[in-house]
Amino acid sequence: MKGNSGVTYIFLNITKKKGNDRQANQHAQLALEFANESKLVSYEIIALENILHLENVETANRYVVLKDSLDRANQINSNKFAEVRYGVALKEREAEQLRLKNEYNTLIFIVVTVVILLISLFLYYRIKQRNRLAVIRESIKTENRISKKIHDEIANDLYHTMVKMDKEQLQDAQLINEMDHIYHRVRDISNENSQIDLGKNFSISIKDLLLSYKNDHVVVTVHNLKKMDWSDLKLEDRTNLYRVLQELMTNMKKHSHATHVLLSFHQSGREMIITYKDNGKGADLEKGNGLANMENRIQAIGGVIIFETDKDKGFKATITI
Amino acid sequence: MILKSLVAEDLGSISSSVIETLKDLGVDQIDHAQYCDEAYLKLIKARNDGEPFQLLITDLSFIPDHRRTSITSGEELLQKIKNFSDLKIIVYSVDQRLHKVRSLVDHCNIDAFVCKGRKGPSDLRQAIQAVSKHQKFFSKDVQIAFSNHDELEIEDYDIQLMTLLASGRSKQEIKTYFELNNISPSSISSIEKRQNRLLLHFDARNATHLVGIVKDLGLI
Repeated sequence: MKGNSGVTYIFLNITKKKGNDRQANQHAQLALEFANESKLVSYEIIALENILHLENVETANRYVVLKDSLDRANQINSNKFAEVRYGVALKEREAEQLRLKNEYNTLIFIVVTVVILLISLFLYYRIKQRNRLAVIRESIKTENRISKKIHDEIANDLYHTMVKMDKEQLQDAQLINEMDHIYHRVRDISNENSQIDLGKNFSISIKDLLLSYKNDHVVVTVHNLKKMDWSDLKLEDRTNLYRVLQELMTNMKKHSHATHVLLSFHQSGREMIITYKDNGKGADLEKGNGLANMENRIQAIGGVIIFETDKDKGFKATITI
Repeated sequence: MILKSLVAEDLGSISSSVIETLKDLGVDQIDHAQYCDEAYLKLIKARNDGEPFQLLITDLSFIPDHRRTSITSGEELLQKIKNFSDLKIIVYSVDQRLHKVRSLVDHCNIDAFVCKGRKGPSDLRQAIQAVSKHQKFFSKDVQIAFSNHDELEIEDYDIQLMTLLASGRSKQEIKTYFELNNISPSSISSIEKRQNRLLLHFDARNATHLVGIVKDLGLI
């Protein structure tokens, strides 16, 4: 093979050097044959060109020009094709990016919507809660104000009158007794609506309340009050709960003729259950808005109160918060 | 014996009855203030003059009127003078909330608390006599403020004990049960002690009566 290429190269050179057309033609033909035999395409083409040069210069030139321009045209075409292909790829990529961007935007939109929705829900409940507490606070304030007025003006004046009667030796025992009775009732109303110490230890406030109902005729028993944790209960809610217990005890004192009362406290997780039970003559669940009042108060806390009673079987109230 | 007293009370008839009681008990220097500010100034002035008051009888609430006052309640007045160690203080009030009484005793060093009421005048008389002998006095209605706070409370142990009593077990059997279940105290003597405490608390005549009461209450 190496030999052949060497021979071909020699023939090619000889073809160029010989001025004689016929001999040159022969050599060129030989070179072509050798190039053919040795399958050396680049030499073959040179040989062919030589032959063309030898035969007709113009034709050969024209061939070369045409071939070159054709080659160039092909080259440009293929470049263009590449360009088009590249363009298409670019467009596709842009479309893909646009699609991704759209998806991303949709996702953001959904997230933002959900966040806004959650925030508004949160605000709604907060405002609702605040309103609820504001209403309770307002009623507590009113109660306290009225209580103070009753205390400062009526109870004191009544007492003042009683003292005067006593001083002026109005020894009408019946009258003084009646006055005393009125005085106590007025004072009780005042105390029932006066400000409660809800501070640090709500259990002690409750204990004080229950203690004040204990006397020679009524035994008050408390179970597990010490174990209660009131920290989850808002001050306004504590007031309501306190008032309900107060009302239960007042009803007991006024109507039930009970000798024993039990207040049982129970807590599991966030749930609190408070049970009131007495051994009195029972109450009529239908009449009196005292019960409805208690129900309203417990509902305001977000709890439930259930009353159970039977004639001579006592009275029971179960508060669940 | 107390000689020099100040009465802070906005209602004339009440203060005059207080003054009469004081006179009756032999107190001869009695002054009277209608406002807390006035009372405070009188107390301070007497101290500065070297003739301090020995006793203050004060109401807690004062009805506001046209006068501008800086001390508006008896409680504020008492806060201001709580360091007057030689001054005896009797509070005479309609307000008988226990926490209030307790906080006045704890934070304002009051010597007596008298509830206005039917027994007010006679309680006041007793209170004046008590504080002049360096004793304390509290009207019956507020005495419970200082009772033992465990008084009302019963424990799970008590319920277990009463449940066992209700099932008819003897003290010996209860002791054995407590021992088996690691419940203390389980000695016969402490069980007896508890049972007696429960009888007293529930005002029951005997164990049967006790069981009947707590059954009615749904405790067992």
